[in-house]
Amino acid sequence: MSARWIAMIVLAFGIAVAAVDSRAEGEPAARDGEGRELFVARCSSCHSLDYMEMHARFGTRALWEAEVTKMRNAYKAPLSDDEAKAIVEYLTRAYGPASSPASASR
Amino acid sequence: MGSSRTTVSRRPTARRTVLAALGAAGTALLASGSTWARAAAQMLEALPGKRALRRLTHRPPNYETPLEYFRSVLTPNEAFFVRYHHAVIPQIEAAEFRLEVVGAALERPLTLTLAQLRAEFPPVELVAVCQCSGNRRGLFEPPVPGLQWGHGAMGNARWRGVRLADVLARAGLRSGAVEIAFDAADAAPLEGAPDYIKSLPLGKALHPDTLLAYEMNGAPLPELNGHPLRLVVPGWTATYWIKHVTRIEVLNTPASGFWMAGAYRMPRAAFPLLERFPSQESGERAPVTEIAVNSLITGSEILPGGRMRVRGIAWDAGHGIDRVDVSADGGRSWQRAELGDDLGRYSFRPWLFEWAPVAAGAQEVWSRASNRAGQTQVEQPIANPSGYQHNAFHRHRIEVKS
Repeated sequence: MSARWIAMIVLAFGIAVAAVDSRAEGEPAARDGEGRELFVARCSSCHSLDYMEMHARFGTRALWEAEVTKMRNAYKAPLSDDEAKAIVEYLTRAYGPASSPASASR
Repeated sequence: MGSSRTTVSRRPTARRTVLAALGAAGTALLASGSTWARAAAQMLEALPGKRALRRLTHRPPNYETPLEYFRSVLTPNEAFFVRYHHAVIPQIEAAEFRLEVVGAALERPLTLTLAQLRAEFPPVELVAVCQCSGNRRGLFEPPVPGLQWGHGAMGNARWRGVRLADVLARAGLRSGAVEIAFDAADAAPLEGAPDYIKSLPLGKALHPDTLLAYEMNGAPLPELNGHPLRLVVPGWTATYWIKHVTRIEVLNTPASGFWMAGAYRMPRAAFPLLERFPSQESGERAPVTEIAVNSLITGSEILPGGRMRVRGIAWDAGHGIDRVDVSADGGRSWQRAELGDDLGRYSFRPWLFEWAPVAAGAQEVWSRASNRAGQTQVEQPIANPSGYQHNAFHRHRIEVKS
């Protein structure tokens, strides 16, 4: 399918169907922490955040660096170097082995 | 919670429609003129037509089949696992579907409707296991990044469709073809991100068991399992079983996209594959191909007189299950289980085992399958960077009452 066509649909209907939240029902919210807004804005449009929950048990800095690098290189996430660094910081703190599970799953 | 959904189509004759929804965050990004607009098409349909499955991720949807469904040899369509790489999932009207067959090494490029596929090619049916390369990834220790699957990223179904070889013959395959590539109606959410395209070596593509399937267990393919047409590659892992396949391209050179060259690869030396993919092997990494021989204990019960019975399934890449052995003493001794109905060499093979436990209390029962190619399950899974092909003995806890 043409990605351009999808973009057209989004442009045509996006504002009309705007809801309060970008998450589907039941999707986990991002954990609290510095950098949360940037993380949500850059990452949650392509995928739900249960990917983070799933890795938190072993979410070391090395893991999050590798994941963010993969998202930039393979999936073409348009992050600046500074943004990537900030997101790795946020993930390491919020989704590291010492972190606690998300309180919110609105 | 604010979930929303809208169904849109380009124009009345649009070949397919997409469920798309956009939230406030996306709108803000649109307003800022960001390229994130592309990414904001979200698939909010949870799981239409499915029973409750174990959710790994909402978006893209990745849901595994709970273990109890493996007590039947064929996995019900409504319980069959769901696995997507991209959140943009096409909805295709069967009547509007077209399959393109293109490539330089073809005499007659084709466009086929579903009705043509059904009417103009001999139908073929076979039972085969569709199993994610990363099934059981979540059981690796130390843990490996990626979807943390348990035992249920797999299913066994009776597939009905046409031979890929017959379709390629209609198009007139000429010499020079190296691989056959498959593209689907899904799309990567971001511009420039790699489309999910997979290829097969010519030999596997032309194998009479490789199908373009339109039915699964006697019903049209479910939306989330590839409606209306998917590739069925018996014996090989599900990464090749392209769902919603719309384009087949005959290649004169090896496919080089991310999903072939950069993903689904393993250290070649670690896994003794019998069916390889030589045109895609490079350096020390080789593509995942065959499903490793494996087994699963699906339940246990106490019989009158204090005997125990365990049941399970075993499967492999189609070499055929030769035997399943069970140990009730931590691997010190093994006894042969009784194999059940044989639905074909690519199918789950049920088995059962009965014995009289010598001691009461909590204990483990292990299962170990071997195939006719001389391969057998391993005691510890073979570590590899992406956590593929976990095929260690299955260990099942039971409680024996005194």
